[in-house]
Amino acid sequence: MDKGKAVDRGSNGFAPAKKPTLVIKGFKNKPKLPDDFEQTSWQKLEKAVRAIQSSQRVQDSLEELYRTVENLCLHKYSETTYTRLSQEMERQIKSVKAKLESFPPSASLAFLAEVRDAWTEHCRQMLLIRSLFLYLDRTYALQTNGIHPIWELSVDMFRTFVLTPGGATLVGSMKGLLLQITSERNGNVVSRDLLRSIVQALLDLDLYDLIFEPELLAETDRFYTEEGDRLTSEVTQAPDGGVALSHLLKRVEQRVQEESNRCTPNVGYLTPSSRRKLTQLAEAQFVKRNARALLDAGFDKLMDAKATDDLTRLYTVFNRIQCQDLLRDKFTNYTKTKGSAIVTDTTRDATLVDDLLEFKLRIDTTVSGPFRNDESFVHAAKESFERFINIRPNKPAELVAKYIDNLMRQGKGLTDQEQEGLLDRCLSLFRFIQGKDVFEAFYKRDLAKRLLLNRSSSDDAEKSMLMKLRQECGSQFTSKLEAMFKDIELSKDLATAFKATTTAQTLDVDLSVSVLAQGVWPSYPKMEVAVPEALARCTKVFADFYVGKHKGRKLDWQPALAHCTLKASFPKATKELNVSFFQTLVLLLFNENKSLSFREIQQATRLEAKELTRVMQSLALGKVRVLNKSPKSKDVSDDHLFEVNETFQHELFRVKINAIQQKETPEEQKATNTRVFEDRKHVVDAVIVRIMKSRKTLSHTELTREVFGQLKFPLDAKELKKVIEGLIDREFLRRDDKDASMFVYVA
Amino acid sequence: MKMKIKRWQAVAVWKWDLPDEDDVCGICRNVFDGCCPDCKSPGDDCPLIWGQCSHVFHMHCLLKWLEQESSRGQCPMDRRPFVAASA
Ligand SMILES: [Zn+2]
Ligand SMILES: [Zn+2]
Ligand SMILES: [Zn+2]
Repeated sequence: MDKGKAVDRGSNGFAPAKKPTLVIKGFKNKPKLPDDFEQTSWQKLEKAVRAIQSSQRVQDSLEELYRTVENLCLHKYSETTYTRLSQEMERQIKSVKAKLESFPPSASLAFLAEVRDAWTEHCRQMLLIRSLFLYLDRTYALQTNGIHPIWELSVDMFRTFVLTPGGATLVGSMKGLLLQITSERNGNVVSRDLLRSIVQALLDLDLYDLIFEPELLAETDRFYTEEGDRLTSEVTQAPDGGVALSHLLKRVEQRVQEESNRCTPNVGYLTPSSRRKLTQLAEAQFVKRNARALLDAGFDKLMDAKATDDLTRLYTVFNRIQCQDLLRDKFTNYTKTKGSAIVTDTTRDATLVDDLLEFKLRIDTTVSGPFRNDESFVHAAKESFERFINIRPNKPAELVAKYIDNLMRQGKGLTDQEQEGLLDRCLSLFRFIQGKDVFEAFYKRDLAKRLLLNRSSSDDAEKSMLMKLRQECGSQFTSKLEAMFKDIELSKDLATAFKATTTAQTLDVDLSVSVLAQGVWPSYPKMEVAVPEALARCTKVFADFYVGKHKGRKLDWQPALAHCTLKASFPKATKELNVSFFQTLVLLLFNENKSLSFREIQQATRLEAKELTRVMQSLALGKVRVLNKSPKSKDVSDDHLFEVNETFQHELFRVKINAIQQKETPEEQKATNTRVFEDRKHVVDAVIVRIMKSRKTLSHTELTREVFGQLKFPLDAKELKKVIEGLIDREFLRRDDKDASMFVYVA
Repeated sequence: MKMKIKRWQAVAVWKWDLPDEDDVCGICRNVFDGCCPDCKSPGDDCPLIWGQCSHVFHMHCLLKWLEQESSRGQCPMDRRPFVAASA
């Protein structure tokens, strides 16, 4: 064998196996073991073990050594061999212990590297030794109670002598590990490979779960408590808590990601089983401990700023730390506070509905986006709207009705779909409102004007709105509206029939009449007006025609709702004017008069002063001025003079100046409200009588509770008291003789 | 300047032509401007009927009344045979 080949130890450090020489001998006697069989066999093995332990070349081949072990075991030397081997292992491990303990107590990287190397080397050695003693392991160690298999024995020894719980080496290693983790959390780069090896050693040695992890969690807790407190105080002390809270939320999110990464196999170095515990600690110490203070300082600001991403983070983390209730209460409070500020500010009535729609959209998108449509948040939003919208009774209902009217008239340049969407959003506001009767009264009044003045932008939109209202208010309300539409349809047929009559053809005015059923339409105040003879004849002709078709009826003319198309010839232009009937009456006077005073006009038309003032202002002071006024002031007095604007010009041929009819007068507004309140009184009367009729005797408290339970509109206790007094006066009820707080039904 | 009405869109409310506007139906006691208890809205759907005896009722109310045998075809107000006034 030449020298060069002898150096070649093969990959496992053993000498290559010798070529077997075939020897055949006859057995004459039973072979007898030499006396020093055990001695020499072990010496051979001991030499190999020590070579492995000192990283030297092993003289004998693995095969030969393996057979030696096998022979020892076959000749009942298993126990002796196992004991001798364990002594060898112990001796080696003790030398490792001594070497590590010779380092000055430290948690340095160098020390960590030593520990890693010691463990790696131990594992390398033990793998070789175990393969050598495989036969012993299988036939003896694994089969015998009370002793460890070789690998486990070595792990146990390493734990007993080197990384001893409580011992300096383990304490130092763990401290070093934790220092590195803290350093990494502080933004420094650490050797993750080294840390991974140490953690792996702790896992192999069963030291991770029971010894290391509790320390890891304690350190993590300390670290995040400190950082959480620092960031929280930044939030609570910042002039704008929103920005600081946003910063904190991003930090938590980042921390959670970092910890998660730290526990990802191959990328990080801690075990996946620690992930949830670490991220929970980060969230708990950052947010949970200071949850209320954080919300108080920053939540409203995030809502104001529509900070969708931050609100998403906030919801996610509050959900995980199970503090949704706190967040929801804060959200409820925000919605109520902001909402009632919008509703109660009487200076912004002009934009109230737009503001509410915008606010609702914002709240809804926050609930459906950042708050993931969480049912309890959906409910909180709904409840908050119901609460704040009704803080101010009646007005929101009135304004929503008018908003819809405006939409139905103008369409606002929206597509059909956009308009539908906007109407739906208006109804979603309306849904929260308790005083639905106010809405109904104003809606009906506005619808009447749209129909009578031909101002609806689309029939389809009107019909679709009617269907929506049927769903919201019930058919009792909409049946009246449907009857209004029907009257308009019937009136169109009637107009056609009338025009076909011979008498109609003798009139020089093209007259059509909307005939309304009473009790279906809003009621209008009676307006006295002097109608010129020629026009009075027209109405007479129509009335005769109508009564001829419908026996037992009569017609009550409503001049305030009528309107006309005039052909007007000015010196400089001929125009078609769309005017109210009252405007018509005034303008016709100027066919015979060049100039007229307010007093003269009033004498001629008999219009009530307030109404006539509005008419004159619309003709002489509005955007389109067909009359001139002197003096030019806005106010109107008896002696102010009016004359035709001789220089009248307009870019259009058809000019509308009857907007005053559409516009609600203050008197109308008041009348509509009064009417609702009158109706309410009747409803309350009826409800009390119905309750008392069935219950006979009730205390004031019980009666109040029952009445409020049945009413669909708000009523204050004072009002209720008045109604009860009224019923006592009218002898529907009386007070009990003995107990004045009890009411008795009088049959 | 010359103004001439081309079109006139007038508005009128129709009412039952009764001597007293607050009159009620002798059967259901609802005002005539309202409808009978079975109807939802007054007007074409719930007409009135005049008797030769000059009594007026909701047509629905009177028909219901006349269906009852005990009515014996009489006007409920004066117990004379009810005959509708011809137009
Ligand atoms: Zn009746
Ligand atoms: Zn009827
Ligand atoms: Zn009669």
